[in-house]
Amino acid sequence: MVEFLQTTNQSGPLHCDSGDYPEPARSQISDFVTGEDNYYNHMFYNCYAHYGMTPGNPLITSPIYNKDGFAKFRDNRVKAWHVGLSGEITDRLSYLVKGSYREGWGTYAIPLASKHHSFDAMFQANYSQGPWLFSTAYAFDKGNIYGDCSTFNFKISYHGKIL
Amino acid sequence: MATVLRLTLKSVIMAKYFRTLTTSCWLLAVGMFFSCQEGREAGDLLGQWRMTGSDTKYISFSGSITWIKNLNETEVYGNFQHQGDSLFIQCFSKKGEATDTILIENTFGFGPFTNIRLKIDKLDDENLILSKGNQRWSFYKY
Repeated sequence: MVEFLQTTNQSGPLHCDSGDYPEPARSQISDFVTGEDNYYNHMFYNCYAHYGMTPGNPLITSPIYNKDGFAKFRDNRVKAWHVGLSGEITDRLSYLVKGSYREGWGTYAIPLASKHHSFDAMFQANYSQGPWLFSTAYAFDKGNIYGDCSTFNFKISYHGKIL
Repeated sequence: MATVLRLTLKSVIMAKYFRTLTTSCWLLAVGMFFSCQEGREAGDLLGQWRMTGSDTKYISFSGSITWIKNLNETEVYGNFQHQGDSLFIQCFSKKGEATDTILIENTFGFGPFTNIRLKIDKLDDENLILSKGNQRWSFYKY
């Protein structure tokens, strides 16, 4: 599975409505240009986030990661690629690999001084034995968004019927 | 026999229905594509451009409006016309503040404020180079 996400355009880089300005500027504006959508942010309500997390899209960096407590999205103009691969090596052994790479330019109003980028990946192996499932995974983030982090987990689960 | 005929008739109607639906979707998609007004007069200039060697100076184009800003100072809008390698910008000041003129004429070195005439030396997907006499401004898409 391959996915590509691009949110850099946002209806163009600027929004200019003569109705927003008093005279004499109003009559000097020759065009009505809508744009600068500023995804997930709002002029009055700060932003659309759920407890600081981006709803529905992990590739737009959540405001909760703003280290200074800024309560809006700083980086909503992104290009991102995501690749996922899963398969079965034997009847009992399967794997799952996922990886994402993203670049971010900030917002039109406040572009980032330097592009943000991150490469995040996860490798998971599963072994099933009857109702038992043994799973282990390793994941990491590399880049200047979340920092260089890595983690792993190990899971034992039992699948049975209650009724 | 009657059941078979009824089923055949139903299949024909369904096939016709789906064919009409598919055709309609295609026509709608083509219509939407060609009615897309994004950028309009801005053409290849559409987008936000950052001045080379600076992380605060930007110029943006959309429709026939340009937006010139320095993150450390202020921002100014203007009307622009673009024909061949000629670019004409006529800035306007929201409140008639002196900082607007300073941004355009001193910080960017364009001018005069309401009558900026520039030559486009280079314009492609990534780079925009403007010039006026010996002056030269280099921007890249950001």
